[in-house]
Amino acid sequence: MIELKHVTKTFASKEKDVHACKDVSLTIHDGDIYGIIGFSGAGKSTLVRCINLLERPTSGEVIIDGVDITKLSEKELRKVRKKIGMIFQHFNLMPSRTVAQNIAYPLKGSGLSKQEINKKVDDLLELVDLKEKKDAYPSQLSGGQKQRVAIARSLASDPTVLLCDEATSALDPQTTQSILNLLKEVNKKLNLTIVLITHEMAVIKSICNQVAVMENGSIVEQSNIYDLFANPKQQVTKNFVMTTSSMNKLYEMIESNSPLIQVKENEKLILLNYANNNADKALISEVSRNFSVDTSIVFGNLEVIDHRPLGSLAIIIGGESVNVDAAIQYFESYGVKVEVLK
Amino acid sequence: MLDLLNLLIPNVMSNLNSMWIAFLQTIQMVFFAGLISAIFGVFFGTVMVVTRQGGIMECKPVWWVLDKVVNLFRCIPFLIMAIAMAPVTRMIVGTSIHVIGAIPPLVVATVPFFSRQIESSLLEVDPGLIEASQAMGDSPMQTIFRVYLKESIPGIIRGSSITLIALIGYTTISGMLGAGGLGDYALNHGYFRYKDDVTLFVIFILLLITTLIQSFSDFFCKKTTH
Repeated sequence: MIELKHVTKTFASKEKDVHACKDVSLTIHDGDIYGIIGFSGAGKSTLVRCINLLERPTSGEVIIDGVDITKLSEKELRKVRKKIGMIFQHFNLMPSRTVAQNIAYPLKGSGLSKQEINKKVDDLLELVDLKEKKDAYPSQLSGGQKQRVAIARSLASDPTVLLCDEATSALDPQTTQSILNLLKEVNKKLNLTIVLITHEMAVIKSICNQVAVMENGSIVEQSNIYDLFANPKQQVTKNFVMTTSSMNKLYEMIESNSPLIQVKENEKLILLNYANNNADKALISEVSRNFSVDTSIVFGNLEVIDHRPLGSLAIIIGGESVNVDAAIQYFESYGVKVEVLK
Repeated sequence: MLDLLNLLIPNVMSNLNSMWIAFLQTIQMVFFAGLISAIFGVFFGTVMVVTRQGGIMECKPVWWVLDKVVNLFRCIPFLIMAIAMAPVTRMIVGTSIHVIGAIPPLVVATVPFFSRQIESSLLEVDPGLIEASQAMGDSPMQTIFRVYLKESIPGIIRGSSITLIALIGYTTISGMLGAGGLGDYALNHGYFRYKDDVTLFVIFILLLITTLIQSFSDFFCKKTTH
């Protein structure tokens, strides 16, 4: 378990002090994939570096498995660092060393024999699916392959935690997905706690179970992944959620008075927000049948987050206004949030 | 062939022995001064990188002093320094002439130059690699040897060849101060006796040596760059 308590990091400079992290407290449980999202400059890179003390907090405690590592000696700290893997946006592989030598890098001085190291390197190469690149140099690899090697290297000393600093930000979407799948796999297989920072909500959405949103050095919102998407509270969070949803298209259409969403008399454009388990019920067809209203779906965004469905549907509902109102009530009785747009 | 050489460089051929001795003296000066300078240069260059602000063993006073001392010695022309430090040279090796007397000033001139070469190659190492090394639990010494020095080998080779060629230039000035070598040979056997072929031949030898050093450097750079 990782606990940050009131972590503050201030960079002093001549003109003014820069507060990269302001009084950040958070708890990361074993086996979590914990995402920290924020725009660039929000302080997330500094925060993740406070976990292995690449940046020493100006004040606050960093407690890993009950030990406040800010109080350790340099030597003890190095031991702790060997149990915290880290991968980077630009991979940071040693260019003069082959893939195998890079992966074996943290094993020097670990007391393992040459054969044991060799075996470990082979196992890790198998895990990251790069066996054939064993003797290649980093310059001969693609971005995704480099990150796979970096992951293998970070796992070589059997860490319990893996810190990912914008690990997919330099990769194309397809490669990003394959790296995320690999991270998910090692999280499950090795029960590895992963702390991931990113500015892409899509990354958070596809693998995290806990999320913290950072803005100007502070954590402004923190929750499990589903609630964050279903019920974002802060404006910055809403903006991030919007980046992975196509719903803003709908608002654009309303703004520009698109012919696709013209409502006639006796019709209403409503937005249904599904959450939890009401997304699987055939509410729309039920409503048409029971309240003799016409419904037509004009826009929608449905997804599954953390194995639970979540979505929004924009429908045009038409009929006697009494019936329309009754239908809306019926939706609400099932926990669907209804927003009348037009 | 021999006839041709006798025709082209009569004054070299008539006293080959002097030329050979001068050549060996130059090689000796370059070898010993180079070896000693390499050790000190790598040491000071590395110290300047790790003690600077933001370095892995940040220690501003050490960095400040080293930086200024290096500048001080680099601003003194070699001829003047060799003369000025003659008493010190005599204290260290007992004489300020011959090959042995040339070594201390050569080292004092080369170390600051080479330290800067090392410093600039080490500063080229991607800071991300240093961060990765620290994140993996390396001690500062491990970071120095396994990342800074190991990852900048091509740069160090390049810096070494530049330094070595500069050092050869210095040895010819030492020649004027009684150290012997190719500088002395060109001066005393060529210039003062109006034997231009001797001077030209020395240039030819220096050209050969320089080309050789450069080719070796290029070869090993290529081999160590991946």
